[in-house]
This record gives sequence, structure tokens and C-alpha cells, in this order.
Amino acid sequence: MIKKKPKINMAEIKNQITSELKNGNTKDGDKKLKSNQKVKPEVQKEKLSGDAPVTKAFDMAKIKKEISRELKKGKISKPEAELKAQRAPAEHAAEQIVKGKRVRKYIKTGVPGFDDLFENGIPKGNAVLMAGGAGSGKTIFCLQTLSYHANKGHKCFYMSFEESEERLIEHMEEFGWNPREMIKKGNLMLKRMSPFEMSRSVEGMLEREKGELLIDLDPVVLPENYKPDIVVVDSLTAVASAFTGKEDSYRIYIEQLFRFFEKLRATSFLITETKQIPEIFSTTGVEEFLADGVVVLYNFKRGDIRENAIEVLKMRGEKHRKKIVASQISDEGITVYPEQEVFGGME
Amino acid sequence: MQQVINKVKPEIKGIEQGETVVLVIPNELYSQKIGGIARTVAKKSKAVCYVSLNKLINALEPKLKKSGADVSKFLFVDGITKSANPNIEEADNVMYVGSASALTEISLTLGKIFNSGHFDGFIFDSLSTLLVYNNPKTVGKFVHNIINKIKAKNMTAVFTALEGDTNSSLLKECSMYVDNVVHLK
Repeated sequence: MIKKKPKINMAEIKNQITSELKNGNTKDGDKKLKSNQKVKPEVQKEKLSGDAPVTKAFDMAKIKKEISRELKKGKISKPEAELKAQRAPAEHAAEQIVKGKRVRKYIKTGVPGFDDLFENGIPKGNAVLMAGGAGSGKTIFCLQTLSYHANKGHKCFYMSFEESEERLIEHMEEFGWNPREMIKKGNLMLKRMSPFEMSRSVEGMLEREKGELLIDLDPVVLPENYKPDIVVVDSLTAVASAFTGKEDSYRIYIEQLFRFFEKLRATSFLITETKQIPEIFSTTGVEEFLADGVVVLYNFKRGDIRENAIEVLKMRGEKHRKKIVASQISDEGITVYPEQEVFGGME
Repeated sequence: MQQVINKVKPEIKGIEQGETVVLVIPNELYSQKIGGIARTVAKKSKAVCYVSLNKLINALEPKLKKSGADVSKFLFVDGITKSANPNIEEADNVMYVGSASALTEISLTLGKIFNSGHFDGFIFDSLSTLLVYNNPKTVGKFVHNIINKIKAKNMTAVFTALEGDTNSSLLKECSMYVDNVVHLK
């Protein structure tokens, strides 16, 4: 018996896609597939021996655009997290009552896909080590997070021990993040500091307070009455290099720095330069012990190319995915793909 | 050319929708057979995703057209042209990936293409080229990952390989993941 081939209503499929695109609902491909199921089962039963139903030519340019847009977004795997994000501002999105009346707050980074690696987000006030080799995207990740928060009206502070303020501004502008506007509004402050001045001042203080390890030094010079919500230190490696030969002083400084951020109740991101596939995630190892969280950024070499990946190694007070997942750096910043396995690089 | 197509067609006509098959092609007939395979898969599918690691797109597309394949149904994922010509202009029906070594990028792109819900046909050309650029263990992991994505979407998929690689560990491993391995004559 010859089966009659059902005609596919391509106009209907196009309308569905267009309408979903207008709703901004392009994140979940499975959902899109579901909406096509009226059409698909009819085709699924067909054998390859029979010809496919006659259809109009596909608009491949449109489909390609749609897929390219998807690639830049990263896959948001938790619809609940999305709903929460839509209902409330980021920092309140993950508010939660934990046993009794304790309320815990979390922050999002705004890096597409990265926040899906957590059940709720990064616990507010955590000090997070951002470890990675050259070209792994540590600075971009932190600037992207600061942009996200500065745009939400949060106070963000970037301590640079390497690049100048102007260079950082240019860097942000390359990604289209408009830092000058954030600075004008008072939501973003970029400050270049000399690691050697820092080291000299710590040394001087230690000399005066000989034998006293718990001196109360001010490891960061902040403007009066300025209380940032998010702080980035770029980088602890640069600070450590200024303390070469004075490792004990460096440890004291680092301890003071972590204590200072704790007192500020700011969430901090501390960059450390490591090998491309690190075994230790900071200069002395004390940093990763003191930090509440460690995020590792990878830049694997595979044949003639390099691939980026990211991993949440630890995050005190929060459940997170224990897996190295793919990430990409584009001209819009970093995108993380929580469901995408990384091939090679580790073997 | 018609003769070649007729040879290919009976050997893959029994493939059902949702099946994944490795087609092992004699080395000397490879470039002839690929056109027939593309034509047959295109004819039976609404839209086809074609991964090309062998031929530059400006050589492949006319060749497939000449074989009678309806290339308007094809979205190409090209892993070779960009490494030969980094300044290649974007085309509406081609998604370029950096290299045949960029397995994560290829997998990511394919995941998004499959999730778009438009495609029910898939051609991977070829496993043998993948082996030239990557180690067999990594390729095995990659192919397994792709086949799982294909299976989840109930797509019909054809992976091609050269007869010369029949005894490679990859083909042996692939025979575990796919529904069938067909040797073309």
C-alpha cells in the first residue's frame, strides 16, 4: 500500500519561529522542537526509501542567523532560574530561607550560561579566586561582571595592578559595555595601583610593628564613604611579584586583604595567573585556602587551535556543577555553555 | 554520474528515519559516491545539516549540485575553508568553524543546529578526515557525543569513512554507537 505523504505547512513553521523570536524565547531549543511536533511525527515514520514531501526552499540565511544568535547566548538549562531572574533583580533572585529564619543572598555574574553552573548563584560577600593562564579570559570575565552590576546601579570597584585605567576603559569599549557612562554615574571606579608601593608600605608597617602579625593595615585605599558592592583585584600575581623574597609579608598582606573585603561585605573577584592547566591556583596556595570560591578558566591547545573552558572548582555555601564546560570569547564578551562537553586538552 | 547514484541508493534505502549509519566507501570512489549520498539524503529529508571537513565549500557545493542534490535544503558546517582562507566572506548557508581540530566548536554548533528543530537529515563528511586532525580517543568521545545529540532529536544521520580506515579503532568503536555500518561497493 502506498502511503500518502503529508504536506508540511512551512508557513506555519515559519510563523511559530518568528513568534518565538519576538517573545525572546530562543534559549530553549527543546521547547522550539516541541512546538514543531505537530509536523515532525508525520515525517518520523517515513522511510528513506520514500521521497520527502515536496517543500518550499528553506530560508537558510534566516535559520543561520537564528543559530548564530543562539551560539552567543549559551544554553540556559534551568527554566526556574530564568523565571526568578525575570521576577526580581539579580541580587534578590536567589534569596532563600535556610533552616529557621536565616536569609542568604546570592549574586549573578551576568555572564551568559555561567550562572547556570550554580543552584542559586555566588553567595553575596564571597571572595572568589579567578585562576587561569594567559588568554583564558579572566580580565574579560571580571569586567563583564562589573558591567552587569554597574548597569544595575551597584557600586563596582576595579583595582588594577597591571593595566592603566584608560586601557581598561578601551578594553570595555571594545566589547560595547560603555564604561564612561558607568563611571559618570558613579557605579564604576577603575583604579590603577602600584604593587611595589603597596609592598613598600606593607614592609614599612611590618618594620614598625615588629613581631606583631595581626597589624591592622588598610590593604586598599578607597575614597572616603565609598563602599563597593563588587570588587575586582587584577591581579594577586602582580602583587605577589612585588613581594618577591618577602613571602611572609605577602601572606600577611593577603590575609589582611581577605579580611578587609569581608568587613566591607563586598563580593570580590581576585585574579591569579596560573599555568594553562593548573595544579595550584595561586602563587603561594594560601589564596585558594582563604578564598570562598575558586573558578578556573582554561585555554586549551588542540592541534592548531585553542579552546576555552571554565570550571567552578569550589564555592563555599553553594551547590555547583562539578564539570569543566566549554566557553567562548567573542566580541560581545564571554559565553559559557553549561551543557557542552570539552574535547581534549586535558589528556 | 547516474550510475553512481543508482549504486548508492539501494544500499542506503533501507535506512529508517532516526537511524544512524556509518557508510564505508572505497578510497578510489569516495568523491564520486559522496554526491550520490548527499542527493539521496536530501531527497528524503526536510532539511539537512552537512558537516564538511574534506572539501572547500566553493568546491563542494557545485559538486553536490552537479550530482543532483538539492543544496537549498543544506546548511553546511565547514571545518576546512576558514583554515585555508581566514578572510572568507560569510555565506547564508554556511557556518564556518576554525578547523577540523575545533571539536568543541563543532559540537556546540551542531547542538544549536539540532535544537533549532528544522533539521531531520545529517551528513558527516568524514570520520577519516577527523582522524587526520585529532587523536582516535578524542574523536571517539566526540562522535559518541554527536550521536547522542542526533538520537535525542530522532534525526537520520550518515557518517562517511574511507575503506582504508575499516580496521581503525575509531570505526570499531563507532560500530557500538551507530545502528549500522554499511560497506559500499
